[in-house]
Amino acid sequence: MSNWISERISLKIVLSLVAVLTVILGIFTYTLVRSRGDVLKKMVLAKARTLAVTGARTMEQVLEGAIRSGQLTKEQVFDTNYQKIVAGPLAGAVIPKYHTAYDRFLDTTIQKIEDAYVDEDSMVVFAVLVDHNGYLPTHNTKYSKALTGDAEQDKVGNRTKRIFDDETGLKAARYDGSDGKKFLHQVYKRDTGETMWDLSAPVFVDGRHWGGFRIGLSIRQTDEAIAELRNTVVLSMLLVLIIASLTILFVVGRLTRPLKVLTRVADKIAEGNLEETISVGSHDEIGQLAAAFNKMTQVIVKNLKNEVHRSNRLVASVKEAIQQLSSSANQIMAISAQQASGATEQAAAVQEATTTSEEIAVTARQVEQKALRVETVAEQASRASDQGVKAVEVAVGGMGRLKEQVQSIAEAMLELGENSQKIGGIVDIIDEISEQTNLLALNAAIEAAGAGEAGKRFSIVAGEVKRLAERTVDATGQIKGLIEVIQAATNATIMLTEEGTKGVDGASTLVSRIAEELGHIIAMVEETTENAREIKLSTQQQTTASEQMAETIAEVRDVSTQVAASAQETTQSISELTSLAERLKQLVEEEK
Amino acid sequence: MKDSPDYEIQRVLQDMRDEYWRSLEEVEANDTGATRDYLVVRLGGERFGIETALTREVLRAPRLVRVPQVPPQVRGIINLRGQIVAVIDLRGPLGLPLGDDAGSGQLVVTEAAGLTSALWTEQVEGIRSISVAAIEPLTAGLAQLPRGAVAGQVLLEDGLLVLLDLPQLLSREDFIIDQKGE
Repeated sequence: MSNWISERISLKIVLSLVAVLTVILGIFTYTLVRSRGDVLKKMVLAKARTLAVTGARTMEQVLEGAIRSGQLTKEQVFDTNYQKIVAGPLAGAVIPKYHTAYDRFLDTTIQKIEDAYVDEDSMVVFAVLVDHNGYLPTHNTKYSKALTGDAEQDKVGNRTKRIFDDETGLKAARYDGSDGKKFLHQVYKRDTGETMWDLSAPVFVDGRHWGGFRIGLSIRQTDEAIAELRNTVVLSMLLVLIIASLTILFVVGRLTRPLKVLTRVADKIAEGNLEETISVGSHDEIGQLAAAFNKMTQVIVKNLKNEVHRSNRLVASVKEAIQQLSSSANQIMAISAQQASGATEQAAAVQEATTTSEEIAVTARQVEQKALRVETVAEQASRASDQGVKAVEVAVGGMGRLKEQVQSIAEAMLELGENSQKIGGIVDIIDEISEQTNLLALNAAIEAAGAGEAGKRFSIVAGEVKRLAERTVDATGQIKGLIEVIQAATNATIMLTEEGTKGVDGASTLVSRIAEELGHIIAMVEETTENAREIKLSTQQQTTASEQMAETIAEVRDVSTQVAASAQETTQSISELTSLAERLKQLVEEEK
Repeated sequence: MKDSPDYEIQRVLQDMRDEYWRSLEEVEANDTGATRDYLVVRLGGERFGIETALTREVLRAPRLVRVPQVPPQVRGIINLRGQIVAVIDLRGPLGLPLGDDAGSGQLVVTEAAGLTSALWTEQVEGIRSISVAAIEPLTAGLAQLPRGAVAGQVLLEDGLLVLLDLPQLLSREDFIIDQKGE
């Protein structure tokens, strides 16, 4: 919208004019309405004042007349002893009503006068007499309707004989004209809710202030009149505004039409219609501008043609150069792509190598630890084998002693056997002797038998000798048996001891072989220890080497990553270059 | 027994002494009735009695000198203090089984049937006094012993003892060999 406006001079002018006119007309309208309203109100006030003052004079005459005629005494007229009405048609009202000494007289005399004010002017709502306490003895007929019992309806319809001692009522009742204005003007809100003007003029009876005459004016009519006036003025102003705007629009539009033509022609020239000219129809400022424009166009067209010719040649050579650049850039791009892919592969390979070398390092560390453990274990084994050798030496010593003991046992046994053999020989001798003795005893017995009775006792002796010999043989038989047992035992023992000796020999051989084997084991364990130590050293070197290798590989990886990145950058630059060349080419093409 | 070998030996010796004194007393007390002494020998496992009156001595069998062409009962000859005596084995004539007994045994030198001869025995057991009344004739059917060679038999507490009639036995024809040697 604003765009649409900014493109039209006529609209711009119209809008600014309308704005200014609106402000001026607004101020004018406001001032006019205000002054006219004030005048109206003053007129109303003047009328009302007249009414109030004349009313007050009339009331003074009525009251003074009543005193003159003797219908009321002066005391009765100034009676303020308000008796609350408790009987009659006015009794039981919600708002209390009162009788005085004079209210019944006034009902008959002034109601018609009061009603005349109300009937004569539609603006007059009420016209009443009140004493200086606000007591209203007689109201207009339209406010003295009979009581209905409905509080709201009675509040409007029956307002007579009440004391209106609200602020406005009291002020109106007590105003005695001492300010020199002869009347009091109050704007107030009636208890019925209506905004009203209250105009009161003081009433004096025989020079004494009795109360006031109040005129109630409804200002609604006045306000309505003012509003109507305002509406009329505003409407006329708007009409003026619209007519002025349309006129300006039309005039300015006509004036700017040649400018539009000029613009169209300039656009056509810009589009390449260099031969276009403007037909000049007037000789005012715009006509001069068109002529100058035509002249300028001719000059520029001439120069431009020369320039175009020159630039065409330039563009051709630029195009050639661009083609060369483009092909070179493509080549470089291919190369850098290869480089990038190579670098990426290299980076991947290096990554693998890094992982592998790290694994190697870890493995080497593990091997080192194992080698350390092997070394420790081998040392323990060596110590254990040394102890084993010592134990074996002790065992060999024990075996030797055991063998010696067994051999001495065997010798003792042999001796025992020989001795028992000897005992056997001795026993044989004893046997022989016994046999001989036996025979001798037999022969002795035979001899004794031959001697007859004399040899009787001797034969007994011989018998005893024989018996002894036989007993000896028995004993020697037992000895022989024992000797045989002993010999068998000694033989068995000797065999056992021989077996024992053999066993001990075998055991010694075994122990010797164990010692030998232990010696071998020690040698092997020492070799193992040495080897483990060498392995440890080698793996330490390996660990160091692989860690160095990992570092180197990491460096290589960084370098290749950088290479890849640079290749990427190169590619990007080249592609940018290519696109640039392409654009340049397009530009050149367009120029053609 | 092992616990008290001394006691055992002492006991045996005591027994022997007791027995010795008892037998001496027995001789003095047992002087009733006629008795005859017999030498008890063992032949072919059997026991035989030889009258002591016929015997001169007992000796261990020395090395026998074998004599050719003599009856089988003559085992050989010996030199008994300068006297050549034939060694006779009664097992054959008595029908007893012959055993391998070379180099052992004892000889009983006898004076019977007019000649001195050495009877080969397996063993001489000793001399026993036998009451004459106890001697009874050989039970018929007891072995195949020839009747003429046996004087009788006596039943002892330790078995039957056959009493040989040595003069009768040695008087048989087949024993007469050494007449020229007389």
